[in-house]
Amino acid sequence: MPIVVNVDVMLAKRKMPSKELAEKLGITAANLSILKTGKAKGIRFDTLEGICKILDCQPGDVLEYVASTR
Amino acid sequence: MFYNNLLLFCRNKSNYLKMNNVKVVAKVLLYTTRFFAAFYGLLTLYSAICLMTGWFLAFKENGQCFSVLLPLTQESMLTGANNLPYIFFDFLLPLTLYSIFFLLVSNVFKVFTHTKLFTQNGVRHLQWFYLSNLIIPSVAVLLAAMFGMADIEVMVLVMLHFVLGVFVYFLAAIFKQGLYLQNEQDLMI
Repeated sequence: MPIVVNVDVMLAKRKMPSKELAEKLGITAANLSILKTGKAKGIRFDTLEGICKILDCQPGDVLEYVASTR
Repeated sequence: MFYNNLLLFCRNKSNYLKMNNVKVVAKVLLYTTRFFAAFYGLLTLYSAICLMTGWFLAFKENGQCFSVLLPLTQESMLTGANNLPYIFFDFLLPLTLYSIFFLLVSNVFKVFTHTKLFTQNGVRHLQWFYLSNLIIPSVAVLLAAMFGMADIEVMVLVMLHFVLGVFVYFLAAIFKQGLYLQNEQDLMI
């Protein structure tokens, strides 16, 4: 998928564990893992808003478009 | 904001109540059809034992007809022609198939009792049900016809089962699509 989720990068920058983010977002650690590994089919605006608020960043910091090489 | 939340709450509550009604109806039908499946199954077993052993069995019209009697009584319960093709294809086979039919129906109703409606298991139960309705009655009638046992009432029943099978085939297709969409939805974080 050409959309890359950079939540783990932002988590590292903010020195926040995944578990804490999952708790603050109100989602399971398994679902956050799906999001981080790029297996998710989509992200809700609510979740994106929560991530931006908690990690004090912009949606562009979390999502990135990488053109596929094919 | 308050109005929107109230509207959302009312809509969720209404959907919950609707699904709860479906669950209650499905549960009642599940137990009813399970009862019929067990009844037909036991009836088949009892009749087969009586026909094999001669227990609780009476013959009429110079042995041309048989009667399976109620256990420990002389009351006739089931009557049929006393020849092997009739016993197999017009007596034991329909009883067995209706036992299976009610069991498969009960499995379909069981699908609607679960909280999660679209599951792989549910799709499988629907597939079994439509395949059995489309194939088994026709095959059974073909077998019976070989011995000259198929009459018009039976053909009507086969047609009804076929139509039911077609409806459930479409229901299974809806469930398959529902399962696909649900899996997609589960990956929306």
